[in-house]
Amino acid sequence: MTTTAEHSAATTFTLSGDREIVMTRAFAAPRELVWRASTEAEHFANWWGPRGFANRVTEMDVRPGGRWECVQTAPDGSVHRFWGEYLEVVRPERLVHTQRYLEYPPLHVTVTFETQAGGGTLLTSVTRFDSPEGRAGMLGAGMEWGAREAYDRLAELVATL
Amino acid sequence: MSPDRLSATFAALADPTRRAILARLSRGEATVTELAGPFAMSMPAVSKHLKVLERAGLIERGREAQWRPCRLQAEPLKEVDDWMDQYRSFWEESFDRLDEYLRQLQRRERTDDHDR
Repeated sequence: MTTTAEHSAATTFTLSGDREIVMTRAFAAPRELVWRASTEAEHFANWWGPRGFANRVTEMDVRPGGRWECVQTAPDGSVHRFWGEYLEVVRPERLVHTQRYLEYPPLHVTVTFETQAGGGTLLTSVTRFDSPEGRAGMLGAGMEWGAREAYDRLAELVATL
Repeated sequence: MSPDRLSATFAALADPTRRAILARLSRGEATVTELAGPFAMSMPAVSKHLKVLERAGLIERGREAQWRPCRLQAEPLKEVDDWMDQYRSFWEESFDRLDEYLRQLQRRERTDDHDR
């Protein structure tokens, strides 16, 4: 086992164009396992969402046209239902699905899983919103937690957008 | 924080020239001539970008004579940053949990192999 595999890598976030968000994260686990954790209900329920949020996966039919549904209970007791449809399933490399919440337009999510030198896996997730307004409209969509002051990062933010 | 204002900010930020102008202004105020300098662009083209930024509330232009220096307005950018923070914390925590969970699964597998 290499030493890099023991360190958890940082997640990167990039705003891409006017309607995409790109995230990457490396995991010290083989691609097949990361795929299973992302596509099997009993595994998925164990990690999706911030700490303190409980998941009930009521549907996860991973094949083109299949549906998924996850009901999330926040620490404050509020319940949030997310659901969508799988569009493309290439095990264990590529998963394309929609994600819906309330009346918001569906998000289009493309997740790729790449094997890295040393046996780890690089996960890349591209979330495409229907419009720039859609990307902004996710606000107030049950994602209002963890906001904090960040004035000092302004110049940095502008440089990386 | 209104989604309408956020989307105006996002739309203004979608253009690489406008982002470069903001990055320049984050280091201090500048005139249109100074801003046009690094870009192979006419003054009217730069003025057009400045109008979009001004409408989105991202910059403010001075009234002094014809120089009208441009200044960065931080508030809308802070809103974008806050918005990103919320998104970031959802996924950062999810991925941290996934990382721990994957380690658990692998430990379990190794123990099972050992027991066999």
